[in-house]
Amino acid sequence: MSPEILTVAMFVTLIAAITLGHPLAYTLAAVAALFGLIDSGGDVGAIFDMFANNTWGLMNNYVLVAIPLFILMAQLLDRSKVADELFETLFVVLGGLKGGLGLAVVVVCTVFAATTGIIGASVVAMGLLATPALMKKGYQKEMSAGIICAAGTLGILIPPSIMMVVYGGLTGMKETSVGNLFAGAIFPGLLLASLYFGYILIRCNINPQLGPPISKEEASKWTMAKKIRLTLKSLIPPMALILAVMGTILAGVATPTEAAGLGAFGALVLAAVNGKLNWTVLKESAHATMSTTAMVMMLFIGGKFFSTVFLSMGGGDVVADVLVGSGMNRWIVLLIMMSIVFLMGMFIDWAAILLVTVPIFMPIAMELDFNPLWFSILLCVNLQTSFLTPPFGYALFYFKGVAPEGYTMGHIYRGIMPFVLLQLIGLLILAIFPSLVTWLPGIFFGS
Amino acid sequence: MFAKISRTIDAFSTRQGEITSMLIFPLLGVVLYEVIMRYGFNTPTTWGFEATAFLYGMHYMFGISYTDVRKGHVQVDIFTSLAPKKVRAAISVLTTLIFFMPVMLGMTIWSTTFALTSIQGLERNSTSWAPPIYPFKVVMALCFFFLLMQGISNLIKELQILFNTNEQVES
Repeated sequence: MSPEILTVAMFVTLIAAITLGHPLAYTLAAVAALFGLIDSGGDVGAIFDMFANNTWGLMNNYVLVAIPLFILMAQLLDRSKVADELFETLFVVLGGLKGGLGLAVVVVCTVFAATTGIIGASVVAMGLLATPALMKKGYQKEMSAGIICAAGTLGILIPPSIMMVVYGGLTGMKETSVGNLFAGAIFPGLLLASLYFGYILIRCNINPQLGPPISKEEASKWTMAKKIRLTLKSLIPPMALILAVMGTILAGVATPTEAAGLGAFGALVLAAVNGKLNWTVLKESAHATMSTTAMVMMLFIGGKFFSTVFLSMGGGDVVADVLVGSGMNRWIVLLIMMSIVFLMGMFIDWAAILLVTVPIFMPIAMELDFNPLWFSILLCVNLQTSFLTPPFGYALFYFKGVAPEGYTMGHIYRGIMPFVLLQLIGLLILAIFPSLVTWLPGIFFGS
Repeated sequence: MFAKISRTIDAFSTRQGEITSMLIFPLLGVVLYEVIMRYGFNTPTTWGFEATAFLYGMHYMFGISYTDVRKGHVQVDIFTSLAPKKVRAAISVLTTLIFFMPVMLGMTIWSTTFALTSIQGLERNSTSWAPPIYPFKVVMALCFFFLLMQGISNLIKELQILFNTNEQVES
C-alpha cells in the first residue's frame, strides 16, 4: 500500500477506534501495532522489539522525571490548603468590586498556577473553595463555572507545567528545552489571565447581575493597611515556592527535574508548617501521584508507538507534502495545524494530542521557518482550549464532579464559551506579537 | 470462580500500586541529595541522574496496572456512555479482546525476552557508574504482565455484566 493510503487509513482507524471508549493509551498502541504489521508485511518480532525498545527508552528519560515530582508537589499543596488563605483574603480585598470574587478566583489560580503543573488539582480545589462562595453571593452559574474552569486550567500553562515537560521530552531539541518552554510560557500565561480578568471586570460592570459585589460591611471590615498586610502574608508561601522552582530554573542553577524536586520538598515543608502533614496525606498524595503519572506515561508509551510507526511508514512526509508541498502560504498552514489541534481538543486530551501531533507538526513548522519555541508555545496555548471545549473537556468534568447541586452540564458549557473565545484571542495576539514568547527565554538562556 | 479470579487480580493490582507508589519518596530523596551535593558541596554524585531516571521508570511502570484498576486511564466514553449497560459491556469486551489483549500479550512476551537477554549478559549501563540494568528490564516485563492480568480481570467483569441477568456486580 502507498504511504498516502496508509496515512489516511491510520488516522481514520484511530478516530474510529477512539470513539469506542477504550482507554486512549491502549488504543494508540493497538492502532500502531496494526499498522506496523501492515507496513512491515507482518513482521511481529520487529514491531514488538521496536515497542520494547521504545518503552525502555522512556523508562530512563531524565527530563520526564519532573512529571511525578511536579504532580506530587501539586497534590501536597492541594492538601495543605495554602490556596484557602489567599482566597479568603482576596474575598474581602477584591469582593467589593463588581465581579470582584471572580477576579479573586483568577488571581488565586494564576498565583497557584505558578506553583503547580497540572489542572485537576486547581479546578477541583477552586471548585470546592470558591463555588459555594460565588453561589451565595448570587453569581450567575454560567459565569462562575466559566471563571473557575478557565482560570483553573491556567495551571498547566503557567510554568511549571507538565505539559511543557512532556513537550520538551518529546522533541529533545535545544530550542524547545523544558527551561526555554517554561520561560516562553510565562507571558502567554499572564496574558490569558489578564484577558480573563479584564473580561470579568467589564462584563460584571455592564451587568452586575452576573457577579454582584459583596456587601459594604463585609468589604470594609478591614482597614486598607490590614488588607495589604494580609494579602502579602498569604502570598508568602506561594511566592517562596515560585522562587524555589522557577527562580532556580531561570537562574540556570537547577534543571527542571531538580527544581521539581525542590518544589515538592517545599510543598512538604508548607504542609508541615500548616499542620497538615501526616501519614494519610503522604499516602494519598503518593497514590494520586502514581495514578496521574502512570496515566500520562502510558499515553506517552502508546503515543510513542503510534508516532514511531506513523513516521517510519512515511506518514510524516505525506502530511508535510500536503501542507508544505502545495505551496500554500505558511500562515495558512499554521492556521490549519492550529485548527487540527483545536478540533482534536474537543475529543481527546492534551497529552494524546501532543504525542500524536508534535512529531508530525514540528518538522513542518521548522521547514516553514517558524521559530520552534514560538510555535511550541502557540500549540500549548491552543491546548488550553482542549480542557474547556465540549464534549470532552477535562476541566468541565472536574468542575462538574465538585460543583454544588443545581449546576448542569448546560450551565457549564454555556459558561466556558466566552473563555474559549478569550483563549483564541490570546492565541491570535501571540501569533501577531511573537516577542511575547521569545523575549524572556532570550533574556534568561540567550537563545 | 471467575469472579474470584477477577477480585484477586484487582486486589493485587491495587495493593502493588499502593506499595510501589511510595517509590516517589526515595525518588524525591535522590533528587534532593544530588542538588545538595552539587550546589552545596560542589561534589556531584556520579550516580544521581541514572538513579533518578531508573526509580522514575519503575515508579510509573508499576503504576500502569494500578491506574487501570482505578479507572484512571483517559478514555473518550462520551459516545459509549449513551448506550445501555449491556451494549457498553459488549463493546468493552470487544475492544479489550481486539485492542488490548494482542498488544499487551506481545509486550509481555517481547519484554520478557528483552529481559532474559539482558539477564544472560548481566547487562550494565554504558556509563561511568555502570549500574546493572537487567533488574529494570525485568521490572518492565513484570509490569506488562501485571497489566495483562488486569486486562483479564476487566474482561471477566465486563463478561459478567454482559451475561448475568441477576445483578450481582457491585461497582
